[in-house]
Amino acid sequence: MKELLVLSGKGGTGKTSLTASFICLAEKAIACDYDVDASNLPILLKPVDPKGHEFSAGLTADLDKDICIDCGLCRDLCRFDAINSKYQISTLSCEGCGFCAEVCPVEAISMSERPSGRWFASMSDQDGKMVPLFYAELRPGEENSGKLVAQVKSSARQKALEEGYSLLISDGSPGIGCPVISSLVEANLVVIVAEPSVSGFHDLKRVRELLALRGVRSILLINKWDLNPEASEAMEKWAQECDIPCAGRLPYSSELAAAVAVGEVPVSRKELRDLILPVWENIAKTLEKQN
Amino acid sequence: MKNIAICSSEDKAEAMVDGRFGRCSYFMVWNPESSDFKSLKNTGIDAAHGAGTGAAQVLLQNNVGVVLTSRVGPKAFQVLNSAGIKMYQGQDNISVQALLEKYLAQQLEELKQPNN
Amino acid sequence: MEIAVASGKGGTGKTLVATCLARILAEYNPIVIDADVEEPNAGLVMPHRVIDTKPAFRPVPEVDMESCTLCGKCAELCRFNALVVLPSEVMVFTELCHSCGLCAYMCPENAINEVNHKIGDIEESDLLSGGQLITGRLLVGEVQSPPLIKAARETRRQDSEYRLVDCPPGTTCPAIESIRDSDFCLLVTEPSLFGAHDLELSIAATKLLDVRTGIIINRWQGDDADVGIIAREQDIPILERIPYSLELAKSYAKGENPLTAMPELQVILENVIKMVKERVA
Ligand code: SF4
Ligand code: SF4
Repeated sequence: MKELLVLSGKGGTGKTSLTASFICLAEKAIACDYDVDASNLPILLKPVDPKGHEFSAGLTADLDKDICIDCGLCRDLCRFDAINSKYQISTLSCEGCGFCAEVCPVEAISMSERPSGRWFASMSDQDGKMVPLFYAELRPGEENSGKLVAQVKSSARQKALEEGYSLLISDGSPGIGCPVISSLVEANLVVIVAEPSVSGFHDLKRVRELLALRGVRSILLINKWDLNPEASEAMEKWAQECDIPCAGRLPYSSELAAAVAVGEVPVSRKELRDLILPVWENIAKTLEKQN
Repeated sequence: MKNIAICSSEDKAEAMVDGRFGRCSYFMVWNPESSDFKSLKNTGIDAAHGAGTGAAQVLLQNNVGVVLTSRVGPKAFQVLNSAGIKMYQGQDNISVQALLEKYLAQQLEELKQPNN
Repeated sequence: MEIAVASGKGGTGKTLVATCLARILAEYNPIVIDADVEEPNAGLVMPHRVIDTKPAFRPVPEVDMESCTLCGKCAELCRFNALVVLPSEVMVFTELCHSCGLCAYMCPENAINEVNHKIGDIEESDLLSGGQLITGRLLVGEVQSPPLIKAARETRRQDSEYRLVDCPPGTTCPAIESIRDSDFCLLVTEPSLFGAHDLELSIAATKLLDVRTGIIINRWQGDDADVGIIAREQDIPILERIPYSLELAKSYAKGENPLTAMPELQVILENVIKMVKERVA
């Protein structure tokens, strides 16, 4: 089984629209959305009959005011200002460290599991081709530890194993933190989607730094290259120096923006399909060579 | 003699292995002197982070000298390695009992570095 | 007044809005705080002169092996599995530690001291357009961004009437830490299904914080689309709309001043400031 992960330092580079396109162009693949913070792949792939599962991560403190003797110890020791003067604990601020529960002289505080979100297993109908889709929704304000990403990934891989899929295409989470690191586990190739701008180049370098650290191979795809042809060229040159192959460049396309705005997978339109197909073929070829 | 721990999906020897060291549900611990299995719940599994180090600590307290697992992360590897616990490359889609037999027949390779 | 500029996802034009607001408010010497510490970008589009760079720290345990009896208490208590007690040593995994202080407090032998661990830098600069820029920059590989965000927001060389926080995207802890306690939160979004979905999540997060909010629609093309529906349902005002402009996108990609490429942006954002002021008053 191989996993192709699509990343970009930041959102807004067209990463999700391209991931959805690759999923539709691939002969047979499982789709995963690791952007559990704001999952957008389902908007394009329109899952039918998703099955939701509760997910919890870490702990949170609960204080029983009937037992509390107003000693103030917990409040003084909590480093996260989670306990206010009325001994109310803010779940949003509570880090779940358990310091308060440990020191409370009358055991008024207990730690409980922290409901953090939900993950979904679903199917998406792409012109008669049924694509399994796994995604999740983190609750607002919860920490994105990467555990939910790991959950989505292991459920998808399980399904792949059971039903003989040999390819996983996943939409990575933005940034370079924990969720991205979880996304990278067992990925065979990363497509870095980058925009040719000052900040886009900066983001590209940071992603590559992380990939180098984890020893994961990557391939570069420049999106909206014509916004800044000089920067596109500089990026390609840089990639060559870093031994990163290029999958190609895609121009800015108002057609693509229009398709996505109404929730259509870009490659469902012929013009866009012709544009994206060669890039996908390059990626697929490179992926084949990875182990 | 030290015990042998196998990452498992359930608390019995016939269960399928779970490849992930930190996130497996149970450890089946085999005692070479009595040839008995005992199950240990992996309490680290619910943690948002640090499942691997938590799981390693559990094994340390249970006189384990060998772990059979498919994937072990860098932090857990560091702990197990420093504690002198040897890790052997497990397989997926195989029962706990069957994997142990492969180990005893010396068919598994020692893990010399983290692979997750 | 402190205005947080946030968005459900990156790439919506959050930094564009924050930095243009700073240019417009130049006469007040505003302070721009780049709280997007994983990918700080404001400095890339705002000409500035770095004045000072200070390291930022958080406390992590250090075990004194002279006093330690390997009792195992710290490892048992740490909810983050950051400590592991081996037969002859205690291992500390700094990246797992949340700096709660429990281990040091509870160690029966007082063998644990908390020491400073560097998590990033805070860079203080003068903006050439007027005012200051405070940039938090997280070290690559460091995972605890909230303490750095907090430190960046608390840094002030000189106070100003206007403080603008360029927040990290999303609705998780880093975004919450950046928006918390600000006077107003501007949510920048795009008029698409993606934009509407992300906006809905951002609104849910700001509701947890009980902060006043308003929406700016960027890359507007004559239709609020689903963003309009969400705004109505959630009862959050749409303060302004920034029209789509290829010129603007091109000049911004080169790092040029957006107010030159799109002069009407000045009027739009002045209006935003006016409306925010009315709502905060
Ligand atoms: S568990 Fe920790 S963070 Fe939460 S309230 Fe108690 S001391 Fe504070
Ligand atoms: S300070 Fe808290 S999180 Fe850090 S090692 Fe000690 S107990 Fe664990």
